[in-house]
Amino acid sequence: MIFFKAGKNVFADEEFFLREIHRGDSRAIVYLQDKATGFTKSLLQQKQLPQYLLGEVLNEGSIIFIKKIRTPGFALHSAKVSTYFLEIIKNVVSNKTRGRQYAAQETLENVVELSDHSVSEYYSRKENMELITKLLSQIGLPCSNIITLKYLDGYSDEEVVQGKLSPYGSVESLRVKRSDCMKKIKEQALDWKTDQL
Amino acid sequence: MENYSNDIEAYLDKRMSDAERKDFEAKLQTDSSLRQELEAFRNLRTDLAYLHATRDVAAAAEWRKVQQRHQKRRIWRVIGLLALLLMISFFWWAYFWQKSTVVEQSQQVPPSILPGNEAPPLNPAPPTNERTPPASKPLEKSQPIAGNLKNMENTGADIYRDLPKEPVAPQYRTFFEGQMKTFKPMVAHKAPWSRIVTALEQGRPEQAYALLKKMPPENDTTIYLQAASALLLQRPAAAESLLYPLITNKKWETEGRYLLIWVYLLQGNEALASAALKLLPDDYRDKKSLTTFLER
Repeated sequence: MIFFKAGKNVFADEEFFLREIHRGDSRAIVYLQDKATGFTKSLLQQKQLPQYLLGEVLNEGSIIFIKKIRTPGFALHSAKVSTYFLEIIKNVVSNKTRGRQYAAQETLENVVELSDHSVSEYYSRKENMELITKLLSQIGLPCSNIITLKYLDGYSDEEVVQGKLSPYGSVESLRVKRSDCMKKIKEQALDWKTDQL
Repeated sequence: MENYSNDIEAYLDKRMSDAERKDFEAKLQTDSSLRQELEAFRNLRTDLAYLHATRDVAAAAEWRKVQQRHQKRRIWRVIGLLALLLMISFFWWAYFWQKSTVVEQSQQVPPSILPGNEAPPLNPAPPTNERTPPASKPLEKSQPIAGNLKNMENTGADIYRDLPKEPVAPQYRTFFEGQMKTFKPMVAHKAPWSRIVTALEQGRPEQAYALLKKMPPENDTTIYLQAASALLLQRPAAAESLLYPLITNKKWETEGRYLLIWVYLLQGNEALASAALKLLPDDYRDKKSLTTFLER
């Protein structure tokens, strides 16, 4: 049940709305999800999928959307934020339909053709994300800290140095150390995958 | 193998100058292990980007939960406030409704005993033929006979507090009211009773009752007049409790029994009334009318 519609007037401006989502603003993300709730419910119903998937679909759609808009060079090309998000939701629901083999009765023509690989990429990387989370917690300081600051908290190198968020006094030394840490984590991930095989 | 990780990061971050980039891309063309390294770094960064987005969405979900909790709390606060307002309004309404009903009742009920100075007739009016089978009607709440409480003079008395309403038998009430129009208390018009007796004779029992409050409480005349007032106000139980001790006094025995007959009738107890009537002298007050009424 939606008790509120967060930021109805605040996010009337599309550019500002997109910028806030890009920044990871919770209110903007919730507003985006609320806007897509009705559509997603009916889509789930139409695809004969259970309604409890609603939250999961909206969250996965949001992750894909945020990742997408953070990709360098991304542009909406006059499309509305919510319209773009609904397209992603459609693809997420289609993926769920295939995953649950509910599409067995559907002919191939009825399956939505994925023009964008964002959704499939997300599902193919879900396992990797879990592994990276695990490795980040194991790698220890300062690697976990400097990787998190750049890639998960979104700080620029200059901000990290100026704000003394890491033990490195210059941008260059921070970059060199982080490259080493990235290599280390990449190798650990490779080792883990080799062990799995 | 050379450590290219810093160069790869710089290349992916687009921090290289044109010359550096061209040089690096040339190396990529020739070095397959460097290409693999670049691809691995790119994948890792993509995974981290998804992780970043996942964390933002998780934070938004948490924010939503907090907001919903706040919203629920706000709703409950509003409901509580409304309930409180409703309760206050209800008690306010109940208080004023009760107050206004008491005033309205006292204003609307016309005096059953009309004020007048005429002497009681020697032969009281015959009983009406309105008698209906006893016990067929339920007892009604009594109304004061002369009930304009607003016009009570020199009183601070609250009749409704001292003498709460009592149920009376409707089939005897009309007869009682008819007979009591000419009721004269058995007390002489002398100080200090003069005003009280006049009030009772003129059909203002509530005024008499209020005046009696200033009289000595142990005095048997006070008790008799209180009983008469209570009876005229159609409070039979209150009158009865005053009359029982009074009839042990020889002086008030007969008059006390007479008033008790009315008490029994108003209470709907015809058998007791008939029994008490037999104890009265034949020519006492309106015994004949009472006998005729009860025999019918």
